Amino acid sequence: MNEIADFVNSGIRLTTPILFAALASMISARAGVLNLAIESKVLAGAFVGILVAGATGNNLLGVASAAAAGALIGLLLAAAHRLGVDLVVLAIGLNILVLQLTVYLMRSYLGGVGTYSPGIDRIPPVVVPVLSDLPVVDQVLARLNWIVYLGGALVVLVALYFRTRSGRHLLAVGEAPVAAASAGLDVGRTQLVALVAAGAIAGVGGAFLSVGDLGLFTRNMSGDRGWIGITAALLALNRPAFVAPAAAVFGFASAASIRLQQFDVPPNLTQFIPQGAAFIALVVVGLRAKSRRDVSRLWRRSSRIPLRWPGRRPSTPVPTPVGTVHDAPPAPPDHSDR
Amino acid sequence: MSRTPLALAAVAAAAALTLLAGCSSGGPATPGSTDAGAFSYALITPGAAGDGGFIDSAIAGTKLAEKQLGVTGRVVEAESVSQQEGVIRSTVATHPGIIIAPGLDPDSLLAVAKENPDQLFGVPSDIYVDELPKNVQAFSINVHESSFLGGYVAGSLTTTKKVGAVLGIDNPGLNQFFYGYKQGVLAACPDCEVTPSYLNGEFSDPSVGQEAALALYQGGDDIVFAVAGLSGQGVFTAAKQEGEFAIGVDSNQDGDAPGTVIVSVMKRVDQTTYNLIKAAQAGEFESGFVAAGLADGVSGLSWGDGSTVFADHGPAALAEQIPALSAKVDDLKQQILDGSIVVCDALNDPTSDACAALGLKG
Repeated sequence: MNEIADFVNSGIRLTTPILFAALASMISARAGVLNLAIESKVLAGAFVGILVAGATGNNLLGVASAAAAGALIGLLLAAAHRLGVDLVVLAIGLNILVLQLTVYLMRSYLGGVGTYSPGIDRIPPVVVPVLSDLPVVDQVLARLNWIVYLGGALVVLVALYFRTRSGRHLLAVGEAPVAAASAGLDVGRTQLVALVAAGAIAGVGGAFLSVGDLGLFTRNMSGDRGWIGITAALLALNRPAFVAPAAAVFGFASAASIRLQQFDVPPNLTQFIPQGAAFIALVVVGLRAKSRRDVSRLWRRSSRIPLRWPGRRPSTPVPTPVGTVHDAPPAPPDHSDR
Repeated sequence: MSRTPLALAAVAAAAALTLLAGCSSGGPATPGSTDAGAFSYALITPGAAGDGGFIDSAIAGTKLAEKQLGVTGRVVEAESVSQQEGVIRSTVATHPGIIIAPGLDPDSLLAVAKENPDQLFGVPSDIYVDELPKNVQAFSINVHESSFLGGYVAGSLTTTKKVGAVLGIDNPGLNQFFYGYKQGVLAACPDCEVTPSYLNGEFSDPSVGQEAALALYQGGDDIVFAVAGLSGQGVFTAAKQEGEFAIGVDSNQDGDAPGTVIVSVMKRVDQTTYNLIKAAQAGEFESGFVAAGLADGVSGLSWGDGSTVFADHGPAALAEQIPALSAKVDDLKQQILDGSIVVCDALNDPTSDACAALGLKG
């Protein structure tokens, strides 16, 4: 029983950064933007978070700065999107840039080269009244700080948001940008807000790693969690209801690969678990997408949507500019057949 | 139409920034051989400085050589395997006296070495190939004996009679650490239990290292040997949280978590780097493999280097045992060197009796 409680506890901690990344990916995807820069946002969040927490001694400020750093990258992405830059290329560039920039800054200004450890206290675990006194439950809840609970709360908030008027607008922009634009929605602004929010969320996920969980920063400490988050969001079909379970698949697979070794399960087998989970997840997504083309369509299309109308491609029909939908002059009647 | 130049400018700016970051990670390079006549070296590393392990150690070795031998040279970083061949070639073109190449892709290195028979190459730490060209000298540092000493320390200090190890991956190179360690633990405490935990090749993910160590501490282990590169930092944070202890690896990590890291099992890549440069400068370069270990001073415990971090910062109950234990470790070292203790070498001789006794299936 104790082992199971410890396993769940470890799984929750390993899931948390993946959940934040998955939420970021989901929000971007639902707004119709293929966001592959999540890895860089997580890493930037981890770095800026610990930097500010170390400098000010205030962990909350650190987490807030991490969110700001992620949001800034989101803003950069949105600005580039508006200019018509290919976001896939930009995202790959950003991922490399942030990785090298953190190493460079660490080396140039922080003395430490591979590891930066400002000696801060990690964010203390939350003590939940009553629950933390129960026998097994207290073990499950041990060592979970408020960022973990924030992740859970965000899932609910995003789910609720998608049901509000403004959330519906975001979904409409993602599903059918042309229709949304002709209905008077500001596609560019909606996507900008979505990208900034996604960046902030991914940044907090990074802060969980550095400020929340370890109290130190190491080179490339995001460890592909941004990419795993994107996979988790895909597995969840970009739906809020499934995003936490999908992220948990990866977090718990990682925990299982660590914990099962204590029970004489051969390490070769346990080490396959995370990769195996990712593989199975992608197969499931592929099969789903084949039967219901929505997911893949959303993703394929998202990097091609021109943001401002009229589009420049002659092959696409030129939609009416936003805002002039209703007062556009009627097309001149065609008399050629008369 | 005005958007096209703007978009291009944005892409160009991003590209320039990326390049800038890439170049600036060129690191603490001292300006090339300015001193005419002085012997020069070039160190090509397979990653950025700051791994806290063999790369930093190799750089320290070159610094020592600069100070002691008056040589000059520079450090070149080749971040990925795909860059390495190009970097090696361009380094050869600058004609340094010797090229030090720790941990590079063996195929690229040996291919370039064969094409340039007049250029000397030195590999300060393991290269897993069968034979070397005439112009390459390679050290292989054996750590099983020093891990035995580390294990003996763990076995002597454990109060729960359970100790563990977090290893980056399940391969013979890291198992050389583990089985030496295990044998050392059992030598001090025959009824102790030694548990390994492998990390699936994650050498730079302290979060996973922390979870693995937590699992061990929760299972009752009170000392964990961290053999996992940067992931090992997570072992130290887990040990600090739980009020337990850890053992460091590769370089002297005693100071990474003072009072928590008891001792470090060191792989003295700095020493082999220094030796290579020294030999090449003196014209005593010899091609082929050089096996080195505890006997040559290229592997050993941080205590042997005079590290007293744990004795100074550790809890009194443990710290007061350190002087006696340190003397005992020196005694054991002598016994290993004179052959009265044979330590399992899981890398070079996994079928030996010593290994079979530890349950290693060769």
